[in-house]
Amino acid sequence: MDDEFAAFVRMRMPALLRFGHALTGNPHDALDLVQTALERTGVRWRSVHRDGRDPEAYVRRAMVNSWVSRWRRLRRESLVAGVPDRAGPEPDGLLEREPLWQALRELPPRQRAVIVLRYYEDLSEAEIAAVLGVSPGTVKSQASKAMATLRRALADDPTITTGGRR
Amino acid sequence: MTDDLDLDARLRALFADGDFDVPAPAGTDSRILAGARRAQRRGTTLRAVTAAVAVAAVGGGVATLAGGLGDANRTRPARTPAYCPMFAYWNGPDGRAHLYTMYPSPGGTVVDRTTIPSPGTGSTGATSDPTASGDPNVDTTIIVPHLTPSPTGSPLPTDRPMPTTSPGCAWPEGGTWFYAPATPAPWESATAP
Repeated sequence: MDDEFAAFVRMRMPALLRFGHALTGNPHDALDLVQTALERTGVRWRSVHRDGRDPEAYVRRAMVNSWVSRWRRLRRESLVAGVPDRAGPEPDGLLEREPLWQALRELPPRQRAVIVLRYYEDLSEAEIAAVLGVSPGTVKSQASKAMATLRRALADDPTITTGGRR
Repeated sequence: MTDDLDLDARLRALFADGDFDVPAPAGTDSRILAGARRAQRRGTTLRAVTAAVAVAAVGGGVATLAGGLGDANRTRPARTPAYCPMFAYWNGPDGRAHLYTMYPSPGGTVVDRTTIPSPGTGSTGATSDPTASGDPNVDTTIIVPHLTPSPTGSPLPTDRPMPTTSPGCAWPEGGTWFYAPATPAPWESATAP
């Protein structure tokens, strides 16, 4: 394996994991997603460089697309309704208690991806469209739906409607 | 309009100030590199499952080893899971091998083997649709919503032994179920429990 790729992995993994966390809503899926995307990138590392592409952008795009397609696959699968073992501790941290973060996690992955790419990655509509492989119009409609959903979710939180949260 | 501006500002603040750090388990980068090397060697094709797998004793039956899943009809994508997904092979009463994949989710519960239904029975509320996974080689895939990663083993039920081969992960070690650890690739070097 290319030493350059190894250095890239070690250097950029923390940032990619943070992006993955924002994208998926939890650190565990982020780890899995980053690993999957990096492994795929490693296989294509030389061609990514040869084509003059930004490797990190390539990985992030792979993460987004992998996440969206994984959701398409998993939503056909069955959830175990009742698990008899005792529950683990509730997640802690300010982020986990943030109503907006919780509302974001309820969004369908593509809508969530649009929001994350817009607000975390600071991409334009055209750039988001390129990452997701959809039209700018689709990005706009997905963003609109996501914002509407978030507004509805937050409207149920009294601290939001009174302006009590940031 | 005011609402839009407020939500816009709140989203910006959330992503600017939120703590999205993910503590990667030690050796994650090495596993990624190893996974990429393996994938490179194999190209982009799927590979056959070559692992010998443990099979379950069902209804008081006897646990046995089965090495016959490495046939061309059973394949898994070439990848090494990052964080403790579990792969359980089970030799069902119908004489067929069934692969279950369980993914971790934060803040939950360790799955017990009793939560995994026999094919077609749908016990414990789960459905067992042979086509559910979308993979014709996999009878079903069950997503366990609350599987707890735990560096210390807690809150793994204390009446079960804690495997020592997978730091950072907790899973039940049943005598009749085999849960392959993430390192090395579970379907690559599985051994009987």
